[in-house]
Amino acid sequence: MARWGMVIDLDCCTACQACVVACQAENNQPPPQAGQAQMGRSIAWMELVTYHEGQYPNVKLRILPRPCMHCDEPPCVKVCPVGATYKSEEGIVGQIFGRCIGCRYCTTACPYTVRYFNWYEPVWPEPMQKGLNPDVSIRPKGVVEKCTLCHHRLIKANDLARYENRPLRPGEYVPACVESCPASAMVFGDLDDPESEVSQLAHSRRAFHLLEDLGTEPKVIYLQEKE
Amino acid sequence: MIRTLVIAGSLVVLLGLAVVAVGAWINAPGVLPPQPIAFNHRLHLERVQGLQCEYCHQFVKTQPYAGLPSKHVCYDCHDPYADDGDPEADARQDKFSVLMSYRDEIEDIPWHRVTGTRHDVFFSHRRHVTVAGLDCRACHPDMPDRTEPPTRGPITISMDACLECHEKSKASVDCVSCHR
Repeated sequence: MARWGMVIDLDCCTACQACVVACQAENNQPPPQAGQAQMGRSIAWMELVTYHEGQYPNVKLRILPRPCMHCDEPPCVKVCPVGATYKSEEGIVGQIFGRCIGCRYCTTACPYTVRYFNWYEPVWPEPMQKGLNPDVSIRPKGVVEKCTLCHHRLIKANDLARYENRPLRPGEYVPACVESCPASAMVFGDLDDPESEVSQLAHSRRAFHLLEDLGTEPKVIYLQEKE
Repeated sequence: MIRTLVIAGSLVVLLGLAVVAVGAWINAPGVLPPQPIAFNHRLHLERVQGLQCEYCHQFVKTQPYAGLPSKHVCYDCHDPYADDGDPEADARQDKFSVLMSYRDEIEDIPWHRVTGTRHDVFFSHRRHVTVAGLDCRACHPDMPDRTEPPTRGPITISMDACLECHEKSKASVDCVSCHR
């Protein structure tokens, strides 16, 4: 069984935010209303995190695309009292919206702050309403949501593969962020397949995890920039 | 005195029954809008030998959704131009007047979907019908015997029923393989 993971090459990333927009559109994330973003309540499953390195005048701005890490040891799963979040057989940390009671323990437990609480009923401007993705459910007010690694695409790809009586082909299931990256900075695939590009990159010397010391074993692996 | 008590007692019982009936009516699945054509499933299956569900629900074996028939599927048998120029045709075609009224229109028959899944559940017909080999009656038991379109809400299938079958047939019981 596959163990889905992603490698993000920070050398290739140009911070164009195509992944952010693709993720918003693919997963029906509502745009924040006036004032909501100020309170830190906007929802962005994929976000560009910025940080500075060095001292003036030798300062470098670093940018890090940050989806859910889909940890092998997810802290969010351990704290969910109702089993609304769990690690699937294929390593995806899933969120079952219908089961979530909105206690927000998981948003607190997640060290990467990738979990978002729906403080409001989602609202889209009129022209955007027809552009909503029918493959993704619209989360109501009061539940927590997060990156699902576009698993609705996996469901569809699996469905077609089973119908055609063949195994899932490499590259048949790719999340929207990876698909949209114009610089090919993101590579997605089966981490357990030694032949796959993603697993080879994951074992490169440049590979690192975010907050590695926490032992969450993320399946999103970054390749650090060469000097 | 006894008579008054009996009458009062029966009134109370009747009132109770009425409350129960109204409650059941309210809690029952929603009333459906009438279909544009009062399609008779049983009659079609009886009259046309070997008619299969997928003749009208064309995508049931190839797509996640089964599909509702377009007017052209109906016209395969009910030829809309067969009686052109025949003076007695009007009377014969009367019962097909709604179907024939779409003959020269661009629009198709506006069927109402009566079954569906919750917005957060992915259900694929082709996977259940083609891959798993399920009979349509497994989920739509009364459809072949219906003489008119259903007027009350669709059948409800609980997640327990899904899981029971999935466990029995060793299909995936992973949450994210159905929930989205």
